[in-house]
Amino acid sequence: MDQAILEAFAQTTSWMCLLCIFVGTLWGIIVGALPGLGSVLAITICLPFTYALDPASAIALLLGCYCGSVYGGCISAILINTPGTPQSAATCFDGFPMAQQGKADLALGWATGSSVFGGLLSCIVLIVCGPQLAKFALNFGPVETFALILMALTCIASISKGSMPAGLLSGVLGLFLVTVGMDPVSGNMRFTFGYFKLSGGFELIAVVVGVFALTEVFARAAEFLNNKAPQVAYSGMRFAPWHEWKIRIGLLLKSSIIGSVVGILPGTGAATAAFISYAEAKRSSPRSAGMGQGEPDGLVASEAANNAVTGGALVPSLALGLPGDAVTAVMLATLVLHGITPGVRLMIDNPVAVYSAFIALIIANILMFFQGFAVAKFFARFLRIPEPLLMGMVVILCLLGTYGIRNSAFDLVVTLVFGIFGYILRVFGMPVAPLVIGMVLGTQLELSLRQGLLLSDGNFWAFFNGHPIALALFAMTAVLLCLPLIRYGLERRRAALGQAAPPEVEE
Amino acid sequence: MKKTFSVLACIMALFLCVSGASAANWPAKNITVLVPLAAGGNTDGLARGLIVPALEKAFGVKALVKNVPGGALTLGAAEVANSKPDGYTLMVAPLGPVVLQTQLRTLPYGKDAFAPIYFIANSPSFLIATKDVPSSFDAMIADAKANPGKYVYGSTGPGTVPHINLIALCKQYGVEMKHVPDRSGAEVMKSMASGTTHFFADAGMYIPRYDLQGLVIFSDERHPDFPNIPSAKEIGSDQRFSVWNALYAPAGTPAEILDKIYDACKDLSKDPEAQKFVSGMGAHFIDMTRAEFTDFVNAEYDKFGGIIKEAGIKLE
Repeated sequence: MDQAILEAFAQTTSWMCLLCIFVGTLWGIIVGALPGLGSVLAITICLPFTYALDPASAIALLLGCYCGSVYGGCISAILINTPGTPQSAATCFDGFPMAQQGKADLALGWATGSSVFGGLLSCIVLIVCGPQLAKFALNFGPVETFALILMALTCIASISKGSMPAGLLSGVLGLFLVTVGMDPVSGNMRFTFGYFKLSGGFELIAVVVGVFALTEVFARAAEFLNNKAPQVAYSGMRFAPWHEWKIRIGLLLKSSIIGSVVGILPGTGAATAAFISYAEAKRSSPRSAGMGQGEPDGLVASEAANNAVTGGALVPSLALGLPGDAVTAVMLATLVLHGITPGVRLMIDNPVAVYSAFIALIIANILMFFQGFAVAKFFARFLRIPEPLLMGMVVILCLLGTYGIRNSAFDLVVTLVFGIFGYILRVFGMPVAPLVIGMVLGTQLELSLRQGLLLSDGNFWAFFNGHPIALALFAMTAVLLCLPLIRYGLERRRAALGQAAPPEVEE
Repeated sequence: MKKTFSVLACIMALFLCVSGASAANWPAKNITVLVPLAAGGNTDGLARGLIVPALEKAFGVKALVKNVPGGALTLGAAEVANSKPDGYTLMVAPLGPVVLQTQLRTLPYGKDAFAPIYFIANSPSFLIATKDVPSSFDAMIADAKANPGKYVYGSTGPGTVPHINLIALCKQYGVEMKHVPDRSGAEVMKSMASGTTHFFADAGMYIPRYDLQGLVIFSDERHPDFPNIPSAKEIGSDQRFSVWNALYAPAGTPAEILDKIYDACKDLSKDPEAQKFVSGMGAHFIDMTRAEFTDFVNAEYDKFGGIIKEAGIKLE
């Protein structure tokens, strides 16, 4: 086994392999930062190159790309209020307000530091207790998955401050939109109205790009016409002083652990992790009042969690051959092409491949730290071009990226329609983020609920019987939802007690 | 009348000339190979790893893979079916969108919208089960009969080949099982590992990879890699299922072009590298001429049509 680690180390530190990690990570960051181009696209473009590489380098390239793209999404989330990938949707909530306050460089520093921390911590988790955790993941059947996704949905409540009904409505709309297309259980078409192109449903990225990026562009255009556009200007990346980091170490750790654990559970993914982590930070942070208005806690929670998923997702992929998301699925397929069979025997038959993946992931996280600086500088220059030009470029990039997902012109129409729709929502003060959360989580929520109902012959109460993990998750969800109410009640009581003999009010 | 006829003949001759000329010049530009699935799976691997290099080598133009996933593979298939039959748009796809989906639901294309070119690879399906299921087929059937609804089978979605396969099996033996669909083979493996589902019908590679057992192979003979798994013929079942991938063009593509493409691909089965590539996916080559392959597609279409009719499956 030690022999295997040494051999893996030698393989991963070959110049070819290092070059692959370097190129992969940089490529991932850039693709991730461009709105509309997601992790899967970044990896798909790399795919042809992996045929020519040795297995260790091929996996290193893909891992770098994966890691980089999950991180890169935060750059555009912070600078132009558009998550580069859906995984970074929660980064917008505090990242963009910080940028508007002229602290874009600090926001990038927070995001980068948290991403690297989350990524590295998840690597450690992966190495120390990968196989044991993989076994734990197998306790997650449909009921447990449903409970977990439900918990992530509470994030909607955390971010819809101001108008809860509007936020909930927007979230439900998102849940409804994912039901368009093929029913995952019966195979019948829903809400397609006989229009064949709709049978594939709405593409998530097309909608995300529409409601975030295009809506933002429209809003800026309107502000520009009224000459009140706040320009985001910054020169690079800057880290907050150490004492600011120190008070957030607990949060960093907690968010990274949430990310690692959620990453291990197949079928959930980085966006789910970021939402849960954000909701948890909102619940527990002493600075939660400022969250949503540019509080670093929000950035830390979202970015540490989504990058920690990368290491977590490798656990079931490598230990059991069960990919956690589309990206790890591509990675496993690449292993097959190189004659390495993923599955329960991978650790035993090919320990070198497994260890080199671990080492490559660590190196990718470290490289990402430095590349983040370079890319942030580059994007700063990018932002200095006149706003109308910049916004035009954003639109073109968004449409290109959307088209690239499944080469469909229909998705372009979807993006444009949702851009206009999102703008209308915004004008009427309805938040669009819950809609995206609903869509990101909706597919899995529905599938796991219906799978669970199939197994229990349609009896929903069976979900609460004989599923201890699910029960714990349901309880935590209830706490997350009720806590603000309890707090609100307590505050009122305290306020009432504080006033000298408040007059009784008859109701 | 005579005049009209001669004019028509002239026009037709001209048309033949033109199409002949365009077929002779083919390929004058890049070829698109559409895969109706996301990148990274077996079908995508066959397209990128075998078909694209073969086309590029034979014709000296670029061949580009275009992934169009969604709608149980019908979105991509519909795009190919409705594209210009000029030999510049081809499709690599498994059987589902061609012989199965076309009979399950109303689609903007039918089986005859495609011109079959080259049968790439075949992997016979196995009845795969978790290890807590009785390991002999007969014992399993007896157990399932005694306990209706005890067993759950998984699939890669409603109306997919694994789903139809198990519907047919349950029907033949009169057993009752629940169906809990997932979205991909990997998700089914996770459901089996966590004890949610017990059965799945797909290629044999899953058996050693995920520490499962194979109860029967749905073909006439045993598989050399799994000599202990009985064939459907041995246990007296008439179920025959396999997952196969093939290369198509839109119907109406000139026969000369189809022949050229077929000639570019037909020697893949003799290339040891390609053999290794395909066997890594748990599949093997079967040599078929274009005519043989067309007959095969029709036979598979009728086979699935029979099962669907008998089981009364209809999707909207």
